[in-house]
Amino acid sequence: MESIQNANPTIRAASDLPTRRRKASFSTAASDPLGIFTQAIPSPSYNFDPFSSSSTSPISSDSDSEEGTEPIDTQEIYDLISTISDPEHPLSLGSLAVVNLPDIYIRPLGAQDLQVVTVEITPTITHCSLATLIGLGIRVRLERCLPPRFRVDVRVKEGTHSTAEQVTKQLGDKERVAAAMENQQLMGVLKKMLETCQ
Amino acid sequence: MAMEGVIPAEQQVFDPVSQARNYMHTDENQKDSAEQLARETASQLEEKNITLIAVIESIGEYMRDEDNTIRSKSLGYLAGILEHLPSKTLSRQQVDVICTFLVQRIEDGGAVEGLLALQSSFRFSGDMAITTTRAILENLQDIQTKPQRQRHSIIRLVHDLLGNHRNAIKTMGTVFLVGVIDLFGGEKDPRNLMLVFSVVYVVAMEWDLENHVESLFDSIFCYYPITFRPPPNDPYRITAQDLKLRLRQCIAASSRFGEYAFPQLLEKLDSGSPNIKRDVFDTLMACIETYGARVLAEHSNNLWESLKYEVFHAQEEDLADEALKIVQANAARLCTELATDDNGISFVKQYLDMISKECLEKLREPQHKQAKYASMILAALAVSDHRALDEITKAIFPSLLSLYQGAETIESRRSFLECFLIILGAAVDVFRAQPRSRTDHIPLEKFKDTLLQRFSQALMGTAPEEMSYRILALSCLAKLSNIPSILSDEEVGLAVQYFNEIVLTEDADGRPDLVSKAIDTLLELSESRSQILLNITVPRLLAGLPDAGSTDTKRYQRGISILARLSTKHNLSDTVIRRLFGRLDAALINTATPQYCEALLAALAYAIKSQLPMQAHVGENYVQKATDLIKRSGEVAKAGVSDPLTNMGVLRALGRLVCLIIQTASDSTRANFNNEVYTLFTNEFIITDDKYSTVIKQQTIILSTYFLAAINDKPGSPLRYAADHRPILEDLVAITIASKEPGIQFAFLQHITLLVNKFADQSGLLVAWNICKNIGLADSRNATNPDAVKVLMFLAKAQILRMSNTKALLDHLLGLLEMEDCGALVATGFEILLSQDEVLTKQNGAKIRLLSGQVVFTHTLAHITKAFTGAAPGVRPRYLIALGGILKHIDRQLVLSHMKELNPLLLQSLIVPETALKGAVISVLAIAISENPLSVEEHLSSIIAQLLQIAMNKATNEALLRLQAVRCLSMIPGKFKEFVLIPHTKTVDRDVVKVLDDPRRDVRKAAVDCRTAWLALDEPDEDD
Repeated sequence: MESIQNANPTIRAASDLPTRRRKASFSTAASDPLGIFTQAIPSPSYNFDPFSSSSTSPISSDSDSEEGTEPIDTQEIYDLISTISDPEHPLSLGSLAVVNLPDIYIRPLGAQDLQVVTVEITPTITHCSLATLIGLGIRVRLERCLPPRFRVDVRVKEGTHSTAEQVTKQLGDKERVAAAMENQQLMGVLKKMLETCQ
Repeated sequence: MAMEGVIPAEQQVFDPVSQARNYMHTDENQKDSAEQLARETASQLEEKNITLIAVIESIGEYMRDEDNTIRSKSLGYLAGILEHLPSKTLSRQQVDVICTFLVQRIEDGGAVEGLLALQSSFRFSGDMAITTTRAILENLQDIQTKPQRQRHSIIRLVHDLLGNHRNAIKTMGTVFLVGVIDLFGGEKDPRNLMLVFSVVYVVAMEWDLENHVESLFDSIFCYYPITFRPPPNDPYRITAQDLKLRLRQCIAASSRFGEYAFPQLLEKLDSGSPNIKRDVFDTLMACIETYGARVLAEHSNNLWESLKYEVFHAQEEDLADEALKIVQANAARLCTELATDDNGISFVKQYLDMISKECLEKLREPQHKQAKYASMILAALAVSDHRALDEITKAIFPSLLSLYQGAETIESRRSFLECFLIILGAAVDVFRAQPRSRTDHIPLEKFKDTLLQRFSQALMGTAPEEMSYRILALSCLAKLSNIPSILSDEEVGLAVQYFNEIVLTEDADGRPDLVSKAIDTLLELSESRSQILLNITVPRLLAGLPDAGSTDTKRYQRGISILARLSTKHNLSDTVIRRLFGRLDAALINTATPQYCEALLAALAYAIKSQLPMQAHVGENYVQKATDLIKRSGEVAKAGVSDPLTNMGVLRALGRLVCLIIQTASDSTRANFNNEVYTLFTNEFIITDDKYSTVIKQQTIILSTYFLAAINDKPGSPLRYAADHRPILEDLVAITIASKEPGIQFAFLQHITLLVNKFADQSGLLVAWNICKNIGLADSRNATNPDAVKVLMFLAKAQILRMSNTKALLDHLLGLLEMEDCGALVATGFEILLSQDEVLTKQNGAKIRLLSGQVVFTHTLAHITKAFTGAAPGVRPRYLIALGGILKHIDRQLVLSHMKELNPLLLQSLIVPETALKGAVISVLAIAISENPLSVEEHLSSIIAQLLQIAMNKATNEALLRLQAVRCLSMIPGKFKEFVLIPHTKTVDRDVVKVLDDPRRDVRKAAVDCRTAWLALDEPDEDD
């Protein structure tokens, strides 16, 4: 980048971002403030019995109690894309509020459980020329991470960009996206952006 | 000569003249023999076989030769002789003569070397040093026309003379100073420069520089910055770092260099090269450390002007840090000498005021990146000294507070809080390093009320969603409370009450940061203000605990957890433990829920354990409490009434606590418990009276097992039955097999294991071995009874761990795998052999031999490898299951060293339906892949195919197994050479895409990571 477009963006603290990840690791984290019970009480070993099929042997412990299905939801989409790096700051799209949980929608598309994921991005400034690149990054990330029955639709949130319509149109144009993916230099930048994904 | 007749023939013929001639006839390639000749002459001189005069005369002819090279060579002979003479051999007069002689010929080659050897002689005087030095300075100013070797000798001579005869040479004064500047000018050789810098360093430190400061400074600063790169195979091994360090020392050597050093060094900062900047920073640091405060004061303005640019516009974080350190070091140095200017204003104050003012300007735009650097600068200055802290407090707190109050958005306020936090953090450090009494005038005192109020308001009066803001407010409050002697106990008490509220009532699900920060703060405060914690926090937490337990487990669990955490602090520990025992008594009286009692017991064990490092016999304090609880448990068991102490979970928790208390009590207390294993402190013998007629009575075995774990096995131990194990073992085995309650049965099994492993003597082991052999698996009734197999496996475990009958037992067990009836059960039971057990541990005195695991593994593996192919199809899975059970519990290095034999068995295992087995195998594969990929490379195709099958097949593989399989797959890229993996990328990608639609979120996430890892293989590396 020759010149930085927005040198001083608003940054949201990591602890203010919505995520499921932290919650998931909460019960096992060593820093768990309320976790003395896991340290003080050894695992209920009187249940250890290789002979009973439902035993809590060390391998098949926790989290598998009920084989429920957990459908893909907006939070999961958010967690997939919020850690993508911004092309001009060493910050994540989540902390720059380029992607926001309420701006992600999932809706069914006709039959055969086809689904459409819509992500509306908010560029940090209204004339940001990098909006297309960011949108492309999100698109690539989601296409790699979601099962094929999901259609990905990335657009610029209305009223947040001077050429929102144009950018959205570019992002929706399959041929242009395909052409972009052939561009080695562009893919290099994208790779850098996606490297930080968690 | 006095030694006629006995002198050996060889020495009799030593002739100095021919020796000299021989020397003169050696050529350039015969350096070694030339040196040998000089050494011989030296030793003849030393032994006084010849005289110095004779030697000098022997070369007289050559020294008068017209040919310069012949003269030089003869002097080289003399120098060689001098070099090999011990320093005390020559008399003062002889030294004097040679010195004069050499000084006269100083321009001839070899003379300098001779002087170099001579000056280290014991009798070389100061006057001779001056004469020599003078001769060098007067006659050798054409040094730069000479080759490197000769220059080196000359510079070395000056260097050594200065080292050995410093005081004499100092009397030469300016002559020497000016002389060396001229002499050294233009030198470029690194080896010589090392010496030059040393000489200049001494001169700068010790000479009166008068009006030659600039020329001396210029003579060395022209080498700055050093950009030297040593040639390959440099024999002298001089690095750029060596040169840099020595030059840096020179620059910092004299305060008087300051007026030239600062402007010129700061000018070098304009260079874009980070390496040069680093060097400049290091040099500035060295100067600040040695120059006087007055010199620093003169240059502080310029220093700040240049350095602030480096901080605010840093390209690299570490450079900004370096620059900060210099700003800070300068302040610290200015503080050490409280010099003032003509108006009586101290230099420190001027320096700090100037910087504070500029930083405040930056802070007016709190969200700008530079605001953060401004805070860092202020903190760096504040932490340098308490005077600096005071000046900064006075300079910025009034404005900062009003800016904070006037800020409109939470975001800006957050930035101000960040600034407060950084500076208060510095204050904590300063106050701890330099304690201050209350009578001192402390500027921070003036602001403490406002700060306390603002922080409290931000913490308690902000919407709960503003998490990061509230965390910052809490951190600020914590720092303020932690500054010694600023807040009164009442004020800290107020803050503690806020922390209590947060700790107890704040929603911690998913957002544990605030709560955990509050707990950490309370823990930290307990160090300095334990009384406040005891008066406010502990009662508040206890008051929140129910009497009879409650269904709202979360509520009391949190209270108990925090109490347990607090109990780890030494000055709270005893009080908290006693209060918790009190709550436990109340809970038992009120027949509280078992879960509540269990939680209290667990917290007690945690608390007592945490004190062990400080107090080895901490348990002794609570023996009475433990005894009371055991008695009570014995009584309820006998009476058969319903009570929390009849709950198995509670009994286990109590058992753990009692075990801990006994083990950490005094020896006599421990001995006492030996007698009570089976009576639980009641007067009757509970265990065999009526053969465990009720479940409640059977449960007493749980406590007894923990007793058994806790007590010593000393010879003459009064443990009942110790004399003869047969009746009790046979009894226990019978009861265990008959037992229907899994929890009780497990306690019996543990009990048997402990008894055999820890207490059995040879006869006891024989009993155990016989029971194993005759447990009656041939009898079809027992053969299909898992309870009998369990007893067998636990008994085997007890013996195997102490390596008694190991191989015979293993052969017996492996043989059973082929039996129709019991084979499958025994195979499953193999896992028991090496699994971790809570009570059978070294700490509890169990006999666990280091090699037992290895023997079990290698013996089993060898047997199975041999028997596998010939085995009946039905028996093969049993072998795999047995092996899998062992693999789970042995050291990974051991597994890795046997991958060759294991590989085929592991691949077979991935096809059998047993989930537990597959899980164990995937774990082994994961270890092998990450730590020794070569060991599985040969089988990689099959491994990848099997893992993909498991990952995709939702119907037959449970979620955790699928997760394991996908994670194992994602470890593969990066561990093998690319050409090994490329053939698999398509297959993996095709199949992993299907896993992206797994019903479980964890599995999907793992699939995303897996796909990303494999896709990265396909991407060309365009990294520069």
